[in-house]
Amino acid sequence: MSAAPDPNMRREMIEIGVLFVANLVFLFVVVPLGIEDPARFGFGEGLPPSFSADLVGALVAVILGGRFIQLLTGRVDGYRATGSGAGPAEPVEEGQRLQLSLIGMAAAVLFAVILVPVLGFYLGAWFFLFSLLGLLGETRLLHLIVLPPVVVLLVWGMFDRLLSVRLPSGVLFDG
Amino acid sequence: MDLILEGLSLTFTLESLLAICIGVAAGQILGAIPGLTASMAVALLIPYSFYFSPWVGIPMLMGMFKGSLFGSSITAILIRTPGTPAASATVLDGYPLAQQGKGGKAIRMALYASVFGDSFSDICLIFFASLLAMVALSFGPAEYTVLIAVALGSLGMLSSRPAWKGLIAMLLGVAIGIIGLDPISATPRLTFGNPELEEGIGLIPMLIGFLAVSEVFRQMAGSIADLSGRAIRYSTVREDNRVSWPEFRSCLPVLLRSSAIGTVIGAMPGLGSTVAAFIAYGEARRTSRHPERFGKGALEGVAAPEAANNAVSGANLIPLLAFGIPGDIAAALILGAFMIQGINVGPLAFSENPVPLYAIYGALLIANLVNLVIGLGMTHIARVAFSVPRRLLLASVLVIASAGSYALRGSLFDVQLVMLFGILGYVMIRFGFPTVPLLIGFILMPLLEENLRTVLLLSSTYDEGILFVFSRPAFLSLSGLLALVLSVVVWRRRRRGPTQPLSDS
Amino acid sequence: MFRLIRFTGLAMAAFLFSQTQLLAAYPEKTITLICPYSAGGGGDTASRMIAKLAGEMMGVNINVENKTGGGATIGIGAVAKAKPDGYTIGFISTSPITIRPHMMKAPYDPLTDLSYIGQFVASSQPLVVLKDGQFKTLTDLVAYGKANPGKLRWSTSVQRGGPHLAVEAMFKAEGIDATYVPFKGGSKVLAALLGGTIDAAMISEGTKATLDGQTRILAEGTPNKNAVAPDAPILTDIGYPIAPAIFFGLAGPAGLPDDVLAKWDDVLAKVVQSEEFKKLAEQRKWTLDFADHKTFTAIVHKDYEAAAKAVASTGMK
Repeated sequence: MSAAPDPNMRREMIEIGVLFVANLVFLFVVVPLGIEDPARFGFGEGLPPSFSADLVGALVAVILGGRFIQLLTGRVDGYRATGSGAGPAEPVEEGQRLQLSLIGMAAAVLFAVILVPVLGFYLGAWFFLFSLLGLLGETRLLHLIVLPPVVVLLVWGMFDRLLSVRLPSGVLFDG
Repeated sequence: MDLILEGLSLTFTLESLLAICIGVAAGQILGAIPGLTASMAVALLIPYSFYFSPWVGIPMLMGMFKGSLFGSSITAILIRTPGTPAASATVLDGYPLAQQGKGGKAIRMALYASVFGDSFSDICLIFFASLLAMVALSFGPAEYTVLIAVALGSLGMLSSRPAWKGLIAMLLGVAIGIIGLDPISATPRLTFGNPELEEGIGLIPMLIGFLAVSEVFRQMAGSIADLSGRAIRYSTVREDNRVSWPEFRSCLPVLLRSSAIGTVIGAMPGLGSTVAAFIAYGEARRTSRHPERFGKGALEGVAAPEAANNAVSGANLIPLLAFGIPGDIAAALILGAFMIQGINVGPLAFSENPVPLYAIYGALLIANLVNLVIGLGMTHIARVAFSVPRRLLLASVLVIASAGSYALRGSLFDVQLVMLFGILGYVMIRFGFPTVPLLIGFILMPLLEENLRTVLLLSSTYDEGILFVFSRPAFLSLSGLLALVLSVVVWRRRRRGPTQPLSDS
Repeated sequence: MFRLIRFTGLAMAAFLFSQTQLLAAYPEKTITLICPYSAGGGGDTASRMIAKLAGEMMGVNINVENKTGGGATIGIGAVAKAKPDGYTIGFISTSPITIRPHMMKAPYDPLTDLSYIGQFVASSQPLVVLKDGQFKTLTDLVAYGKANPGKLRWSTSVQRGGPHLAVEAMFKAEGIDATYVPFKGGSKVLAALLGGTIDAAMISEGTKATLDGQTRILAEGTPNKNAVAPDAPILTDIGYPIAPAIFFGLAGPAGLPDDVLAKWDDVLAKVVQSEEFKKLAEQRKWTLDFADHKTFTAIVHKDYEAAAKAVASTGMK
């Protein structure tokens, strides 16, 4: 990934631009709407509630601006770092591999937002494990049938039996 | 002397020993499960503690707390999932070591460091409890502010290259930490009327999401063959799976310093083991001759946070035993257990009858030994348990992490947050933003804001205004000490040249 | 196919049977007790103890579910929305019931959305100062507060809880301008008091600290006398506006059937009398104070009204 600095630098500039816009939204939309604060940008008794939020926004703007100027003027010490340790260090082959990550994320969201609230934790977890193992390339039917219940039972024994923590039962089975 | 023997004889019984063993083993297992902390398990067991004699119940609790701190580092090292927040700093070097096949070495180092930190702070507790407690009590919001600010400064160097990405990540953590009730005026901030957000975002969903779940998503991007392989690969070289004496000896200065940091922080109510672990890590890196190795699998990087977080757990008992003030939830639970058993804890109680005190000391020291022995066994069990196919481990981590984060507050919202943070963390990693600075910002900045604003509030009650801090002896001595340390650092750096920044992945 | 029909028929029969049984003798199945506080705190310990003892007495399981957040209003909101059949009840304490609804919105109306089952603990909240400090009596503290506007620093374990309101109302009545310094939790407040950061505190921890010889009790902020300092005046007895009961109790959704309430009156009275519960209360310095559903409802309504006035007069929100 130690490509020529040009495309990398352009990528970084785009990142800075996106973050800068996000920061403006945070500072001038999210904070005024989300923090009730009559004395904004002022000192009442001590610091106002929105002080930290404003400080965060200001610092982000300064850091992004500083980096942008650094990039423009070509003073980019330690630039190659993106390839040596920090950042997406391992060469990720785009395509199928990234796809698996996306599938995993979609499955996880589905699990937390739909499966557990509707089916309840244990049934949801069984279904989730079964499908995710399949999606991640498990082909042995025996494993697909045996492993998910084992994990679910383990969780049940630990939480429900040992610690008497009731996990959600889902709208299908409520009442 | 008779009293000491009488006290010790209370805990040197077969039942007590057995109770400690059970407690330590249970603690190590519970600690390894993300979201389940020993405090929670203990809280759930309290109604049943009536059926035990005090000297079975209390040693078991202590064993549990000690065990859980080591247990949580097993998963922190092997699968980047700190079982309890205290082990989050252990991830920094433990996980890279495991990736290099040196998971066995890292876990053993964590165990030795844990037992070392525990013993160190227990000995401090036995000999200097009242002195340390006096110092801790003289610390108010002004001193806390200085301390946390210095900690943030020393951890600021933990950012990645390019440095700006680390700083942005840290500020994002700060922004997430703002959500919830304002610490002074108690008006809701950034909650948008959602009552689930009123008490703020929990630390557990943050840690599980940004450290564990994001890593799960990252690993899913491996090849199918990779996903079918064993979850954790251990090197076949014997040297890579144990800690040699020279290695241990080279970590000794780090262990001593980190244990001292942990003990001091533990004696002060309200900072906690996660903060101590991060500070110790930062210090270890700052004082190391090879700071560039940190974050890539430095053994000291495992030793420092582990010694510090365990030292906190012993030192938390200092304000409890000296003043009857529990330093954290663990100490509060131990206090509760004492009360249920009819043993009064506090300054007056122990000067009247010190026998229970000696019994506690005995139990603490035995628990350290037991932790070592059972921990060695646990490293083997972990090796077997984590030899399952990688895809099964990845999927199971998601399920267990969900269960653990639900259990804490009984809120499905937290489970959804874990997944959201997992995705956000994964996106950050892909774009080269490190996630650990984000957690540091999230943990430390709310503490700093709360204390700083309390100081400003207090300053309005003094004639001299903000200058009142200089009338506090604790503030003066702390600032003096820090100034001294800082000048030594600057002087040494002049001689050695600047340290390198480091990454977290 | 026949089997399936027969099975469905049996299941229906079993269901109907259980429904009639439910009318015959409560409780017939597992009861869920929602605890709006997180595992490990006093409220959680009390809930679990009640669940265990009452469950044994009634011969059913009582599961404790922790539903925390929103200053306990989320858990209580879930109780208020549950079916009023007695199988979902909740643990409640003072501030989300009688105090906080006056200051911020809660997902329930304490007067109309809940049935109060019973009170089992009333804790005391002493106003404490350092034992060797300059204040020997409440009069000293009041005099200092009047003479030094803005200089008196004080705290309570929960911001906007009952004790906070009680002291604020007292200061208002005396015309004292004092500075409230928020800390998270009673033990941090005690540490701040002992370390000299604040001058006075109203915290339940004060009782034990006074026993340990560290603090002095000037007054009591609840309607019950403090066990350690029975001479300390109760705020309302010496003419201050409010001394809210700091209670632990149980509540269910509005419209709980009479047989459920009667059963709990009976069981809760026995739980409070049990050795195990007495022991727990003794060690936690809780005052056992059983009140059946009628009395408890009256207490809640009375405190709710009193708090409404006090909140309006202090302007807290």
